[in-house]
Amino acid sequence: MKHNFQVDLSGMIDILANHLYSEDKVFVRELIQNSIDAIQLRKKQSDIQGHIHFEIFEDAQHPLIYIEDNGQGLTESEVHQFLAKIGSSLKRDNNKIDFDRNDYIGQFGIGILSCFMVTDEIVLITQSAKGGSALEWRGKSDGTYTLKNIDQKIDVGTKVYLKAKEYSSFFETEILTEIVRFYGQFLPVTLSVGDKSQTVNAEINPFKQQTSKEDLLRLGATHFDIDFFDAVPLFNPDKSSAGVAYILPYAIGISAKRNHLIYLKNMLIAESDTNILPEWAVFAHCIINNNTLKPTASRESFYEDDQLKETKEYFGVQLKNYLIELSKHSPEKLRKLIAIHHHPIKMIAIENEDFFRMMINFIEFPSTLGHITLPSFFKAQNSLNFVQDVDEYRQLVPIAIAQNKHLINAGYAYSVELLEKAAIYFPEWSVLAISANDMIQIFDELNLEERDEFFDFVNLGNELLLPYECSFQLKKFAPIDMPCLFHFNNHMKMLRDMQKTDDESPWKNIMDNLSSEIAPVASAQLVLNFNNPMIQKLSRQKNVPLAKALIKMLYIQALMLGHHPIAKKELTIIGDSMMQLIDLKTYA
Amino acid sequence: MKTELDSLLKEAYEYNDESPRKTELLQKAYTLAQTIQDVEQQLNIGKDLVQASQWSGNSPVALSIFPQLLTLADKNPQLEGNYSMLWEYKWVITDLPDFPTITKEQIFAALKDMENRYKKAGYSRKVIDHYYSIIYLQLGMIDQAKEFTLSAKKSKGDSYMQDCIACVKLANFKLSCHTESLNNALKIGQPLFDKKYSCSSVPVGAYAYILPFLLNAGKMKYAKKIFEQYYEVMDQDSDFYHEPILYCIKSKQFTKALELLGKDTSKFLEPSSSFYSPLKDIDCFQYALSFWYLCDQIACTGKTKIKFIFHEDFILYNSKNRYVIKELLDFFKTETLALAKSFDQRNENNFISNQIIETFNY
Repeated sequence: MKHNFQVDLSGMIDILANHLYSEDKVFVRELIQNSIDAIQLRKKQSDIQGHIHFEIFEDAQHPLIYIEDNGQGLTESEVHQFLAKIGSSLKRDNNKIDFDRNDYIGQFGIGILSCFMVTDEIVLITQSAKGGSALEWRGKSDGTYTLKNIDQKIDVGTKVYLKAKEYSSFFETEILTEIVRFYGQFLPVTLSVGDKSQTVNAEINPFKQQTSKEDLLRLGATHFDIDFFDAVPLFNPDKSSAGVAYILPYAIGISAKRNHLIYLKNMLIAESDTNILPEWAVFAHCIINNNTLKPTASRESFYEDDQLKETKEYFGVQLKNYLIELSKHSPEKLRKLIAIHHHPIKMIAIENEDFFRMMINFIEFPSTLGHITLPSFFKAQNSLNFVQDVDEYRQLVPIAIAQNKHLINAGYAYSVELLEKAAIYFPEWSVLAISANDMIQIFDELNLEERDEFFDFVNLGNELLLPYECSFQLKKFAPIDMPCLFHFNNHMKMLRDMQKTDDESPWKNIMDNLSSEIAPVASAQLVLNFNNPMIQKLSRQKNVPLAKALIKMLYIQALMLGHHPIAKKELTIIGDSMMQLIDLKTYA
Repeated sequence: MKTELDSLLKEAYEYNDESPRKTELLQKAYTLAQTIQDVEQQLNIGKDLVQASQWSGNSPVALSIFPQLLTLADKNPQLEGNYSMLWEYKWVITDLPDFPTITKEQIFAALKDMENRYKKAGYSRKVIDHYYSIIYLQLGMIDQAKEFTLSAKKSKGDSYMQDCIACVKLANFKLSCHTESLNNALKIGQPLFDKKYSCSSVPVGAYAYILPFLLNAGKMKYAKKIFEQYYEVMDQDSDFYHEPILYCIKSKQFTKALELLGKDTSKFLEPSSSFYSPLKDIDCFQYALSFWYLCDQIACTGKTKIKFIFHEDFILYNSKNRYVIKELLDFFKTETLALAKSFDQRNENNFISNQIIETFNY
């Protein structure tokens, strides 16, 4: 035996009215939407200029919003069908939502319920263009309604009255005007609030391809309160989507919230974080109108379907083309843009070879030759030597410059990946990663006499630093004012982390096992520069306790300059060495 | 230094995906947070680093800092709610069996620690039993794995700590490949093959895992279909699977096998290389086994040399990219057998060396 679900109508209304939408003000959009749809329907029969008018009747406790349109109006049977049957809509055929119909904004037949967010009763007076007498419908939030004929003759169209259930700023003319403008300013009907001559329609239409760039920028500044870097018109080949992408005048993180204004058939559907542009296009805010994307029931976002994917891809191509066009016709502007938005542009370049080949002439890297593009660096140096860590780069700069060598600082996001791609796309460029260890290998060795003379000193250094797994070397390198170079490989970093495991932890033995495998390849090197006068003095120091204290302090200083954390066993070095120095001074 | 830390984090979080470079930047930021002794930052960056390093295929980095994070979290309960650390514990624990130098006792001691922490936080046994099962399977202890899977199924569970349903189904399917007939295992795997459940490891992991079993049973047609499905979705996952390479070799698609092997050439490098890792794990074993099997099968065709771009720090590296098959075969055979021996000794069974026998019996 078949049974029907029982529906608690007032509960249902509460859910739809109070929980479907994210904001109360959306009831204004739903009212405009119904009016627009009614006007579209009437336009099929007669040539009218659609007009939707709002007015506020002030009352200290229960002000009233009045909205009228010159749309099709409703007949008695249509009132019963569409206003009293949740989920039924003028715009539905055979109980199926027809997403392919382009003339109506609403689809679900639940929009009118959003009014119950601000009122307990909706009064609707309507005169159908099909004839018959005017009707008055009163719907209440408890799920009941009444309908009666009105003898008085009124114009074709619909009037809605909403009495505020409690104080709300929506019932103030100024606020209401802003909301009506916010949702409907680009609609192809006249929208007015208060006085019928007070229209709120926008002067500039961003969805028309003929709109000038100056106008678009002016519009962008008004909407987002930002003086944008540029405006890029966007449109689909089938013209189902059109609008503008605004290039931000400042950098923004990849995970930052996107600010877009998305319109469906000229009515604002979504603001803020929608995925209408590709992920990498973080540098753009957009205003876009679409006629065919499928809205969700709340009409606050779109279904993630193939159509949305295609639209997103198409807009992505247009933004890339914009950058390519800039590279050809406004290279200086592109340089400025890349200086602001280098991260997303690098990201696209890594993923797309053609784009890489175009943009690599504009993307600049910090280097010992200043900020420079890879082709220019290669032209000057015949190779692309880069350091992938900012600290290590800073340490190596004076050494490289003293040797008349130049380095690229690739310590920032996407730099290494771009250099790796450069090595593939331009094999002649000789791309090489340089580390402090590579530099150490080419430092000059002491001659045999010097080696003999300082053998004990080097030996002393190695013995002292052995507990810290650091080797101690004496070499010669420029510049002479640099006393030492310190290098730590990645295995040493890992080893030091593993050694920090708590003795009581069940992980201690695991870390000990892994450490024993890593230890043979973990290396830290403290290389003293024999060319440096201070190091020469130290290496000739006959007072062994003093030499010991100074070597240890050099090691700690190197650790700190390299921003390495000091391990427990190293913490005592500073205090002990200082004490030693004081004792030596006292003794002397 | 605080400014530098912020700047490093800003750079690291410019990456959408958990890439090796993001791992490097987070590693550097983690070190800086340690240096300035900002415990809160250390915990936050540490958790992101664990995630980034695991997803970018650098689990030793995650392992090296995880015990420190646990201690920090214990000492600073006001900074660290249990949830995220316990959630990451699940990922880290499954890395342990991948390293043959970590003993069974050590793995189970860590698992016990995880269990105690879950209990203390008020979570049910369901997830713990599920993870016991996964670890036992990794160690080739099938009966125990089965026992814990049954126990996990029976346990009433909280959903907070549970893996996604696709991952749970995948783990059960993997076990069924060892405990059920092939037909039954295929039935269990069918919803995964059909993408009824999906996540970053599903269906790609299911396609890969079943392939050796199909090859063993001589079901080449079925294997072909599964391989094609694998190939279609393989880019969606950051993990690298070796089983499809075995299929390519068995089906004499040597070029495709070489193409897949060419995607990761960072193994078996000279110790002097800056990319060298002394930690040999299960991936090294599978890589060596695939290469050994490939060389063996190509040698059967009478070919003696092959071109391949190895990493320039590869132990047998040849700048002309031309290698004598016999030399590669001997090298990878030696490595495979040595690694299998160390795994089997640790596991106290033949679970890993049996994979060699099965591979050459296809």
